[in-house]
Amino acid sequence: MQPGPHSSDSPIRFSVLHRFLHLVVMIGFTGLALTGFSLAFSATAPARAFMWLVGGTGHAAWLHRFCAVITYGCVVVHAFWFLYFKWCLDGRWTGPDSIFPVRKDFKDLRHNLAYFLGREKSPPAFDKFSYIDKIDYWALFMGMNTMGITGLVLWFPEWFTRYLPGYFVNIAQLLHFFEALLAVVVKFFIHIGMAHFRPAVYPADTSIFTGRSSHEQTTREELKI
Amino acid sequence: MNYPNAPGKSPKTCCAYAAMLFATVLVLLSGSDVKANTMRTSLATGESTWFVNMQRFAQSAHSAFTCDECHGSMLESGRQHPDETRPDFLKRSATQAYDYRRCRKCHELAFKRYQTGGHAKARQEEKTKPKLNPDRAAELRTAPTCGDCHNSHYVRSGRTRIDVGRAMVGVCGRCHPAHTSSYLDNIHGKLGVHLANAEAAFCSDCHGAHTVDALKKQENALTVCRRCHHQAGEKFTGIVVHASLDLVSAAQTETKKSLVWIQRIRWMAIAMVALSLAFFIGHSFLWLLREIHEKLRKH
Repeated sequence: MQPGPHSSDSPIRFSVLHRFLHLVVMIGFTGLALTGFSLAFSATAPARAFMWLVGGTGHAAWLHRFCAVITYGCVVVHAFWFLYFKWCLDGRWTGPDSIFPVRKDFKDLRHNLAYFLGREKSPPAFDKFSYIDKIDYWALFMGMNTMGITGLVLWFPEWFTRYLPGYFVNIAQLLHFFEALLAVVVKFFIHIGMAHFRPAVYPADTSIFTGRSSHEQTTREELKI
Repeated sequence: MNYPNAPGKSPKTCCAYAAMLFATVLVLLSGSDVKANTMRTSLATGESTWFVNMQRFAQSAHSAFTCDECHGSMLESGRQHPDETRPDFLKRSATQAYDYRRCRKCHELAFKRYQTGGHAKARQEEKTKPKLNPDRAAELRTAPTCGDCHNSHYVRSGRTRIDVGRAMVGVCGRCHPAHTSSYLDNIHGKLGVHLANAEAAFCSDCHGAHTVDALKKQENALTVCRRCHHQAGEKFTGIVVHASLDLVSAAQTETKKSLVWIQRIRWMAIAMVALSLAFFIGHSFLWLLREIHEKLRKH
C-alpha cells in the first residue's frame, strides 16, 4: 500500500531544530565530500573537472572549510540542545527514549539478525531509537569529532607542530582520509539506501524534512514487521 | 504478481546502483590513466641524441644559436668527425659525450650552483671510487650533468610554472621514482601536479634546482619550509613529505620511527574501515533480503 500524504495529525518525530540541523549537515557534508575527495583523488579526471568547476583549488579549499564550519557548528548546536533538553524541557537522557546505547541494544542486534535469517518470527520491539539509529548517531558524532580535530591539524599545521611532533600531521591526514571514506560510503550508500530506497519506505522517507512520522511506521504496521 | 506500491521500481533502484558502480569504476580507471599519462608526457621530452630534429629545435629556447656556438668548430677542438666505421659509432650516449662546461658561458649562476650541489658531488664520487658493478655500469644511470635533466635542443622558453613543475616531476622521477610517487601522494604534489595550483611546491622549490639538497639537515629543511609556511617551527620539519620507507636511510632514525607509526596507523585505519563496512553492508544486505521476502510473501 502506498501510504497517503502525511496528515497534519500524525505524530511529530523530528522537531524543527532537528530538521534544520539535518538539512544543514546534509548540504555541508556533501560539500565536504565533493571538495575533499576532489583533492584526495586529484589524479582522476572527475576530480579535476570538479576543481575546475569550483574555480580552482583555492576556492575548493575555502568551500571545504566553510562546509566544515557549518557542519561542525551543527554538532555544537546539537550539544547545546542536549543540555536544553535535559535542563529546560526536563527530558531524560536515560530510559527507553534515550539515544545512549544500553545492553538491550546488543540483544536487539542478535534478535534482529536472527529475524533476518528466519530464526525468529518477528523483529525485536525497539525502544524509541533502535540500535541502528544509535550506531548511525554515534558513528556520526565520533566521526564529526575525528574529522574536526584532524581537520584543524591539517588547517593549522604550523600551530599544532609547536606542540606535537611533525608526523602527527601525517597521521591526521591519514585518519582524515579514511574516516571520510567510511563516512561517505556509510552516509551516501548505506544511510540513503536503507532510509529511503529500502522496499518498506521507497522512494523516500520524508519524515526528516516534514517532521511527521510517515511511511516507516505505517508500512511497518501493515507489513507486521 | 501484483505490486501495488510502484510498478517497476526495482529496475529503477537497480539503475541507480548500477550508475553509482559505473561511476566508481570510471573514477578508478581514469585515475590510473592520468597518472600514466603524466609520466609518459614528461618522459617524452627525452634527451639529446646524435641527431637533431631541426623543426623542433627551431621552436626551442636555443633556436637563435648556430650549432658551433655550443659545439665549437672541429678546427678549434681539433677533433675529428666521428668515424663511421668504429664499432661504437652512434652507440655512445650523446649527453655523456658532450662537454657541458660550455653551458657556463651563458648559465654562470646555474653552473656554479650545480658544482656545489649534490649531483656534482655524486658525480665526483663516482669518478674516484666507482661503486657500480662495471658490467652494469652502462645500463645504470650515473649522477647527472646538465644534459641529463635539460634538453638543450628542444626545451622551450616561457613555460608556465605548472608546465615546468609537471615536467620536473617526470625528469627527477627517472632516477627518483619513489620520491615522485610519494610526492604525488602528498598534498604538494596533488595541488601542484594534478590540480595545477601554481602556489604549490614542486621538486626544485624545496630541494633547489641545481644545488639539489636532500634536506637531511633540519636547519636546511626549516629554511625551506618557511619559504611558504612562515610560522613553521622546528617540529614542522618532522612532517614527512616523501612518506615511503624505501627512501629512508639507516641514519634517519627519527624519520624511520615516524614512518613506522604512520604505517601502523594506516593499517589500523584500513582495518577499522573494512570492519565497519563489512558490518554495515552485511547488515543492510540481510535486512533488504528479509524485507523483500516479507513483501513477496504478502502479495
